[in-house]
Amino acid sequence: MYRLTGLLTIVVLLASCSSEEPQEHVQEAQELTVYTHRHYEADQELFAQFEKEHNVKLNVVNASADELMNKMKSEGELCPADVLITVDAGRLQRATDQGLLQPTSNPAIEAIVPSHLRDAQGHWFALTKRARAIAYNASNTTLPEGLAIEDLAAPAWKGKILVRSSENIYNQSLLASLIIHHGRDSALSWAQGVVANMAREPKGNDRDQMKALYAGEGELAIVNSYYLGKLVQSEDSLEAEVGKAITLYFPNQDGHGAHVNISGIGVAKHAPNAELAQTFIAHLLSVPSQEVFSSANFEYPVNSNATVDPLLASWGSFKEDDVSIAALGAHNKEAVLVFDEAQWK
Amino acid sequence: MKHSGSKNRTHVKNTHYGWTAATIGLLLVLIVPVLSIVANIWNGPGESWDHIVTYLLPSYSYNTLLLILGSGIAATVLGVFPAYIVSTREFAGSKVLEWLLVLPLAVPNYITAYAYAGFFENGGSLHRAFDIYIDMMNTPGLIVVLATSLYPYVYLSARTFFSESIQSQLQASRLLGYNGWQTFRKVALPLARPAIAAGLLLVLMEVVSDYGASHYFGVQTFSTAIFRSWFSLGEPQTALFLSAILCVLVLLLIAGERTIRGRKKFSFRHSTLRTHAKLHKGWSALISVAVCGVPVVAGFFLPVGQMLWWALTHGISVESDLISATVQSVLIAASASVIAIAAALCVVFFTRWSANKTVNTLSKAALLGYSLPAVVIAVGIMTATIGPEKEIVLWLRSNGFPDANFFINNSLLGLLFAYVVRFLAVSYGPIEAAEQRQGDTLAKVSRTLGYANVATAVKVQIPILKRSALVAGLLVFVDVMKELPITLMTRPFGWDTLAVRVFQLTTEGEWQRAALPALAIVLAGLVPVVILSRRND
Repeated sequence: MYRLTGLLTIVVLLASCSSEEPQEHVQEAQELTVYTHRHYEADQELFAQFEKEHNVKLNVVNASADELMNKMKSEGELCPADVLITVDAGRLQRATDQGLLQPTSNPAIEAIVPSHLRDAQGHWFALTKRARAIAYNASNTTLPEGLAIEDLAAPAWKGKILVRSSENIYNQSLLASLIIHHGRDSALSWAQGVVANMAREPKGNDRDQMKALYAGEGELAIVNSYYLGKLVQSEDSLEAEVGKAITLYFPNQDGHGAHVNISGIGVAKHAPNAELAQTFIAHLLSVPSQEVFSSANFEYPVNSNATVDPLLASWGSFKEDDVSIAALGAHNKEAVLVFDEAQWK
Repeated sequence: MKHSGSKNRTHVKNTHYGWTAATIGLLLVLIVPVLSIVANIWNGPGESWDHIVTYLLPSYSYNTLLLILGSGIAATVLGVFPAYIVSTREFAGSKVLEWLLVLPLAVPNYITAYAYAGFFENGGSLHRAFDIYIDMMNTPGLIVVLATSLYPYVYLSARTFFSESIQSQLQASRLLGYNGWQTFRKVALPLARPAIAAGLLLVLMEVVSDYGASHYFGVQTFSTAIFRSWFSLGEPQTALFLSAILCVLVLLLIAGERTIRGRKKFSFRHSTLRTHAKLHKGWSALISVAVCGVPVVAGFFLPVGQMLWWALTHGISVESDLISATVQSVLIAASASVIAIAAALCVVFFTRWSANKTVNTLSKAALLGYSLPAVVIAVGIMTATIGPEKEIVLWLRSNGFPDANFFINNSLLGLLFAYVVRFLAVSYGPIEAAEQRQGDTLAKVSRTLGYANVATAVKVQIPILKRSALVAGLLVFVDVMKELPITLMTRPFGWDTLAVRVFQLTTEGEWQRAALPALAIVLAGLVPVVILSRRND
């Protein structure tokens, strides 16, 4: 027993001695801490690339944006985060309002990101876009031309609509856009109309809505564009079959355009490495990175020079709702309240 | 602490205050995160409170109530009958079933939920094979998922009781002419009430705190209201207020369990007499196999089978990050279980030695951590520790240690602390129940012979509690393996446990790819289960 303890002590001592040397080399590499809500493989690939190209060690903390924001708030000036990445504008706006992000002025970044896709003071920038569209099975359903998302509240769609829960941020941001366009009252009666038209109670994620659609549980599903890409490329033969059978319809083409939300990034208020953070943002906005987002994760690039993935391109180009993303964030809470009032689960 | 036996014997009263202080100190550390949440009762809710009361709480509370009742009853039925059967009967396969029945514990609720949806729902395995499907993603479906994955808590504590504590009572009952069923109804069940209640309490606390499974099934519960007000409405204050209410609800559950346990203290002789159990054959054996087999199939083989199928469609390849995630998960889970056992032993014995009724009641507060949604615990710990910690780090930085950084938050220390706060109830339950069963005769004898409290505990009581402590450790280990929200929020850089891997893949609906790490969680959980069942023989 004692011999074992002695042996262990020696091993530990040796280990601590030998580990000192390489540490000196490692210290030369700068560190960048990323708080991110995104958990896609595409991101990991891009992060690894950045580490290699810039000799930087990335510390990635992955959790929901709200948890991360709460963490940033409690950690205060000691917060190690350099950037915060979320999958919707509402959270970035909330982080800005809570003073968790710092304004960034960087002409190179501003040249890439159109002004309605970033905060006016540079607290955050969009990285990618996702469209909230209508999925349908073209083999048994035809959608009327000029369909607007607003029309889905009409009694004609009774029992035909598949959509996920209102807890989901993409639905909240869609409703926020309707509040901005038409005001709270009309958004409420829209939500009530859709609830009355639902084919079933909201459950599962966007993939599940499309599977249910394929199985004939409803005639159309409100889904994010990138989930269809994931279905088409799925390893599961049935999912791939569903993906191939489904067509995307971009609503509101005669009016304000289809609703678009963003995934975005902002530099943390107390970022130990704010300058490197800007380099990191520029890296994610570069043409090659944007094309990875598009091809690996089926998101629409923010950088207009990036080529859209052929699959996304095959869904056709469409008119985007260019309501300011910041305004979506500002109306997010109201949207949640309206959803509850409409009893949208 | 007193070490001299004779002194201790003559001044028993004096030592009580020391132990009272020690218990309160220990409890304070363990329940500070929970306290920092309960304290919000006095802060009141945020501005959307009226909205929440009008639109959310009625239906959310109703759903929660349904889940408590439904899963509670179902888990009791699924746990108690098999426990009784394997403890009193022998039939072909009874030895195997005895430990198979524990296996669902190794499968996280949320994975069972995904697997059930993937098996029963439209487009699922059942649909593909037989062209029928069952709508699972609703309240009854969630009750099935929760009951089949949580019943082992009831089963374990009931089985330990049936097979270790009341064999002689059961035999006496049979000798006096009751048949098996009558013995069960009139002797075993009434005596086992406290043990069943202890297991059931754990089940209900998990039901109340579940978020993953209910979120996926679209069933809105009290936890949903907490998340919704925090995350969707951006009102942490309202969320904390709701959490505080949840704490009170759980205290009521705990009080309920105490009432069921009754004022009477049963003290049973530990006996493992299991002599000459009749070997059952034919119909009787078949019924036994069916009663014990259904929970195992529903809680283990079905979800694991579905995951295996997913893993096979994806193609099984063991990558290095899967191995490192497994090693990290096992290390963390093992350390957490050791600490949780030690903490539970301390709480149980300190409380006993303080011999103070108020302290005894207070000690139950340590159980609260298990009932709150894990995210709330994580945030509670952060709120409670980060203030003082920040001061210390700032002071260190300005006094010659410019590289000083957080040492609790974002560190393994903080992560382990969070686990212990969360899972103390799990290790405390079996240890406390066993300690109560043990009674105080032995301790009294030991003290009469001149041993002090601590010596008595170390030399006499803890060795007898060894098996229960092992059960406790196993439960914590498996729970930590499955844990997600705390790990996500408090893990240090680079510690990606298996649960984290599963989460990252399942949030995007990549079931096939998530299946392998999910199976690794189950496998790692199986190891302690098998060890335990071996020791049993």
